[in-house]
Amino acid sequence: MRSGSLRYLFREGVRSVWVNRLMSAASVGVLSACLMLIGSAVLLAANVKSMVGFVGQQNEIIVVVSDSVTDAQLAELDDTIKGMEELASVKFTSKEQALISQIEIYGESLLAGFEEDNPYPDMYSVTVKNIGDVERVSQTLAEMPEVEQVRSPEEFADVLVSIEKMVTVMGALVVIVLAVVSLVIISNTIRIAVFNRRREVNIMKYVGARDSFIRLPFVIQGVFFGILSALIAFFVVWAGYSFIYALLAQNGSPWIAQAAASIIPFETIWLPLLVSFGGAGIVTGMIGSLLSLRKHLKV
Amino acid sequence: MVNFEHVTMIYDNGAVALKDINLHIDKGEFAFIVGASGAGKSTLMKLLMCELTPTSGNIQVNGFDLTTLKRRKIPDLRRTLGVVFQDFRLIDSMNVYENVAFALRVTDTSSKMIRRRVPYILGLVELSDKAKCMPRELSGGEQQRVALARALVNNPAFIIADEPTGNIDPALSYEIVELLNEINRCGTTILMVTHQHELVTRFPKRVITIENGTIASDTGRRGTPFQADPAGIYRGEASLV
Ligand SMILES: Nc1ncnc2c1ncn2[C@@H]1O[C@H](COP(=O)(O)OP(=O)(O)O)[C@@H](O)[C@H]1O
Ligand SMILES: [Mg+2]
Repeated sequence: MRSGSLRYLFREGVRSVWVNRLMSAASVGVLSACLMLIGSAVLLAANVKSMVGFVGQQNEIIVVVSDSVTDAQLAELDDTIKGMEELASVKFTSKEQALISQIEIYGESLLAGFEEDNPYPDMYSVTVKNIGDVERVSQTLAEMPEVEQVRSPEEFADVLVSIEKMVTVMGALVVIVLAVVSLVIISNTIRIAVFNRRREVNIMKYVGARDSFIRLPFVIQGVFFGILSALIAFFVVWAGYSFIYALLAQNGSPWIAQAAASIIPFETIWLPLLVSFGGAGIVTGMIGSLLSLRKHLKV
Repeated sequence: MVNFEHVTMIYDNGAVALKDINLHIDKGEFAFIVGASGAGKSTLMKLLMCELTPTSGNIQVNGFDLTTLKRRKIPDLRRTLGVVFQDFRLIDSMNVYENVAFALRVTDTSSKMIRRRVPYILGLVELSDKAKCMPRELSGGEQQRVALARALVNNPAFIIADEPTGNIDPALSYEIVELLNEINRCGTTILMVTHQHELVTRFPKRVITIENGTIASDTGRRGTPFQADPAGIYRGEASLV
């Protein structure tokens, strides 16, 4: 194809976007929303994975003591736990200590009257010497009659993973709906563009322009929507990601700060993110325009 | 140049537009097609440019066998044809020059060739001084001359005109037919549908009369005999100087 023809086709594609700017904006808006959601879901999944890895490396186990234990049973449990070879450290927090620390956080008024009926349990916080023992030790502890519950890092990791699964499923549903909406809006926009240019298209056919040539400006338009949407989605996700990152890093709570430390830095993911946004956007824009050309541009 | 063998055209709704048409038009001929409204004249023209496929029969145009012509080869056929319609079909947003250049731009012609060819053709239809005008600033006759220039600019061997003077003052109609006659003298085959009897009587050319989808009469070849284009006027070579 000659460069003059290419220039003509490109100019026509861009002009068509401008003439039809409201629908064009809708096309780009929905497609970029779709990309943003996909991007966010993927980033969340990646970060949960990284966090799961991080949490899995922690060797702290929380042992919640059953409320109904007698002092004698508690003493026995104390002996058993302190006698376990695998443990590196054992720290006991009594109900009373727990209440005091909670009062320090939430204030006297909110927790007034809790002294008579303390809702907090006695707890042990233990660490294992060897990280490979976490699972076995958790199990042994959980089987003791005096123990109500054992919270190991694995469990926390499981919670994270199940949240991630839920987000993935819901995200996938929303994304499918949005992808369909994107395709419908884009193909409608292109249909209107075809309608607006029906005279030119008609004349092109009579003077012997090839089908591919007649279609190209419309395909270019679809691709343009894709690229624009990809760029918008990329910059929005970038801003959102940095914002959340900064928020978590500033947070006083130590475990959140720890979690933030395991967040994947944007520098390592921006390129694959941009490339996949661009690819997905271009493909969607092209499919959208081809869908409508197949139906409305009989040559 | 054009050959119809037992061509029948029945539309999807059952309307029989043409019945068993046999027609032959030689290179260099100028033929009028006349007949009442609804006789099937436009259908015949649409079959020629492969806009319709006949229900039965064979058609050959400019060496293309339309019955076996593949879809993607249709542009090749149309590049050998120049088509003019009653309603001009100019692009309102483009000026005269751009309207004519459009036909070349969308058929892979170099911009050098476009710059050479368009002014030459505009000179031929005597619209050089209107090159920058928009179609709405022109009279009907001038608009049709722009359409004719667009049909000519690809240097086609065959011009098909479906009532090209239908929307034009009678006085200006002669001008258009005179122009077609001029083009014909240089070897281009012309097929023109018309309603206007005064045109047919004034230009003694072949007249094919269609009634109810059949050829009611055909005068056979008349008028100027074929002659080559010695000066190369319509081939564009002359524009090189
Ligand atoms: N697209 C179409 N679908 C159905 N019938 C048509 C169509 N075009 C033309 N016809 C019918 O075919 C006949 C010939 O039409 P046409 O070729 O347009 O006549 P003319 O150009 O001589 O006035 C008419 O009866 C007309 O109603
Ligand atoms: Mg007609």
